[in-house]
Amino acid sequence: MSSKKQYFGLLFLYLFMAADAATAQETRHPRGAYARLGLGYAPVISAPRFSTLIDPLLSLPDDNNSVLYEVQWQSRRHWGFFFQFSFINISASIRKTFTEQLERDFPNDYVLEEIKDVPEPYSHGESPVQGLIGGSYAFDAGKWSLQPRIMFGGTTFNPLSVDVALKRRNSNQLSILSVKPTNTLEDGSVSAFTFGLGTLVQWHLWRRWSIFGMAEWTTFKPDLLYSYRLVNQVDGSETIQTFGSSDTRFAHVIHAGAGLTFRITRK
Amino acid sequence: MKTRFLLPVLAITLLTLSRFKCIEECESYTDTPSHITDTGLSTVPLDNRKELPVVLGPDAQGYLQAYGFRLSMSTELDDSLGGYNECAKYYLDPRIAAIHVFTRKPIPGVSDPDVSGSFRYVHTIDRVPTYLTMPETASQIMLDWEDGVPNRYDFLLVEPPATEGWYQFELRMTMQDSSIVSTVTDSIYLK
Repeated sequence: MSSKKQYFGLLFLYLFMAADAATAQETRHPRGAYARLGLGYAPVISAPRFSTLIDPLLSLPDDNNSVLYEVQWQSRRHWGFFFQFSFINISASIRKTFTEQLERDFPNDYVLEEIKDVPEPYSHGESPVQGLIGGSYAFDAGKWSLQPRIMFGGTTFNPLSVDVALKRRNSNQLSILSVKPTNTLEDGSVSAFTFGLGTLVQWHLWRRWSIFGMAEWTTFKPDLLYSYRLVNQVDGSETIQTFGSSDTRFAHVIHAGAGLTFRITRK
Repeated sequence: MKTRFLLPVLAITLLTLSRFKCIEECESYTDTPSHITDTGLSTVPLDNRKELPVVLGPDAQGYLQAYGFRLSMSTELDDSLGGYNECAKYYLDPRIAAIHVFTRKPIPGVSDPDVSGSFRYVHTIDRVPTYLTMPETASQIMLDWEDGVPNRYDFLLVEPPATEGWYQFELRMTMQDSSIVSTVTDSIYLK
């Protein structure tokens, strides 16, 4: 089956469930305010690319888990408004990935590295965070509620800088490689406007408590520059390059998670 | 019942008193001059073929492309000051003005015995080594120098001679009062 047919199949199933839910009995998810706490998996399925050496330093790897907080106001007419905040905790070892790439790029050298902001016990930098506001529409049916949603907001992440010594094998030759983001904010982070689509399925458990599952897709395009400076320590010669992400791809994040919902307001 | 508190109270009192005593002992530090002499300098040859330099054993051959030597430097006090004092803060007097490396054996194609340009001092910050030229080295060594511990400095031959053979070098420090202290490396076969 082609991928287009698969997408149409999924869309049809989704619409069928929504219609079925809408015609069913009275909802257990009435008008009011809700708070959600969830855990999930949030791979960055596509990130801007600079060069293979710099890419791991962006702190946007494809293996992350996430913690999600959300507050929602649900109106009587099914429309909802929400604020969502999620930490994308990096699971992958940025240090390991970067070092392996460096060893491939400089096979005749020993790599003596120091990744700033990445203390040894941890193997990655700061977690990217997403803050999103959005609107949703609830298809309610008894204990079930299906809520497609649209979101806008920002993503902040922390690209890393490195100073690496490249010591030539069987020789006293030494070079220092510095790779640094050049247009970050004062605290070293980068923020980008973010757009997203998603859906949330909720099932009423008991009194004010429900469980939910959600799937979201968010995208952003960070404008980032990286400088690459290689200095030969013996003769002082330098190689300087600047890499920009402005012409490169958007970053896409898939977020799948589940958690608990608590209805803050009374019926 | 009360006696069970006696031991902890006694321990805390003793610890507190001993701490006060320690602080009292080193309440003020006196700046004390120390100086470098020829006898305080020594060298061992280095093999720098791998990631970090390692000391070569006696009678070992060196590697032309990855040779270096490690300088050990200890300082002495004036006789009038007696021995080392725990509460003294030592500084170098006279300070080092310049460092040069000379060859003690003729190097084919090299007429000037001052081969400082062929050596670099290895200065390491946060595990990342960088090289400093000899004119940059004296001031950095003064910054890197620590009192009360043996100081070690690595010098690497980054522009090696074209041919293998026996080599020997002399490291010469010119002090700010124009005195000179020096040490000579062991003669080593580099290939």
